[in-house]
Amino acid sequence: MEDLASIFGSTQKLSSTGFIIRTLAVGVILYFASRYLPRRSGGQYAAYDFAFFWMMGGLIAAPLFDSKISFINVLTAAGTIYALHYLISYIMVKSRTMARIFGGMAIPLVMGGKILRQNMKKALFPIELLLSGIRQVDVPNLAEVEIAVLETNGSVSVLKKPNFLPVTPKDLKIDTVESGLPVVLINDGQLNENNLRKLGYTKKWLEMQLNKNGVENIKDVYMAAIDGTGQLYYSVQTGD
Amino acid sequence: MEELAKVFNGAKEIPVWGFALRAALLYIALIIGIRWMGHREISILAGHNYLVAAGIMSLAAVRMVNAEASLTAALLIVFVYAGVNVLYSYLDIKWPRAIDRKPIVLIENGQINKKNLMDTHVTIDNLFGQLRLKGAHNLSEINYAILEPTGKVSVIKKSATLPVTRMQMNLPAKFTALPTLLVHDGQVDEENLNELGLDLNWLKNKLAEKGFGRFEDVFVAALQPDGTIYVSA
Repeated sequence: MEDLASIFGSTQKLSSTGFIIRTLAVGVILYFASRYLPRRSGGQYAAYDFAFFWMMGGLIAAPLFDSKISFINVLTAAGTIYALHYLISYIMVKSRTMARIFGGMAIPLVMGGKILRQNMKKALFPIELLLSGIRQVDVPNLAEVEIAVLETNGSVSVLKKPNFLPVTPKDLKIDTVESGLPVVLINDGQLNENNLRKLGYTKKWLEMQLNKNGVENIKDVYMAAIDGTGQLYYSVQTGD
Repeated sequence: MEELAKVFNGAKEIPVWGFALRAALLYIALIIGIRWMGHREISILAGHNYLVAAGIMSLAAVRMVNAEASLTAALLIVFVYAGVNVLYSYLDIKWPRAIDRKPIVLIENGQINKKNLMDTHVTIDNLFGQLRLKGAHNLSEINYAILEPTGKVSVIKKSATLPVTRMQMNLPAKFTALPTLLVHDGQVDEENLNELGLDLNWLKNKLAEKGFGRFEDVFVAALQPDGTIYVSA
């Protein structure tokens, strides 16, 4: 059995057991990294978010590459990259000019139905990629495109010409009620009393609603949620 | 035999076929590991998953080409690493609060929440870009925008600006269901057919109506919820 110094430090040769212990330690680091990861990097708003992510992933697993790589080196490098990403994204929210320098700008590719040749060239964007980009957002035909923008994460967003947009209740002057976000009332048979109280409902009321639909016990409900209009959705536990 | 031991334990020099064997074994181990981690590794908690994917791939790649690294250890590491992540997925069901992160509201009732935007370091241009990608070009159309734990933005538009639904037009509801595959590559799926209470003769007649004499000529045939049959040669 190796001592802890060689498992977590730098050593010439490490046994398989030593590496398994290292892997478990990396698993723990991974947990904290995922939990405190800058939120924006996951959505990959810009190229530097992408670079941050893949670099962090490789860095965290680095002690498993070679026994000579010590945890201290890895944590130092990971900490530095994290601090840099934090700093850059902090500067970006504070200053729009810096945001343009670090994150790049969204580039319009189609304006008013016309392809902007200059911008396509500047973005090194071939026409096939533009066609593929608009297909991916369910617009197969360039004739339907009013505006297309190359976003900083490399995807294309499309605004269709008004004539091709779906009819909305507003156009037909139909009144609608905002249903808002649904709130979970029962999760896996467990009543969420906090949410229930916040919305001004009682357990009795919920049980009555469920009884009306033939559900006798809250325990039998896998999930129940209610939206702003008071519409109750529920799904009953089946099996086991 | 001695050569093979070198390939597995790592040595100063390894024959070329040894590297091919290492590459093949690690590649298969990666596929097994990723299958084991399951579906959620690609979609849910994307942040975590990117880290795992980047880590497991790079460690396998580095160990593949480093002659002195032990292959046995590499295979064990891949499986333990995958196992740790399966454990996290399991813990997420048990104690969601310990694993999951809470979604953050960026737009609430049509109003941008500046504090949350600043806290998450999402610039206003980033936000607009994400909204555009979701087809929400006008801010006034948006009811909610939520930064999900995965880092993606989900958008809930005001119901007056969404496409009209059948309910709003007071149209009768349509029956929706998934189509059922009846023939694939000339082979009749008798199990699906029996489940629907139909038989081969019925299918034969239906296909004949579409101009297909033999099952062998059909690549895909499926029963659609409206009762019609879709056929493709």
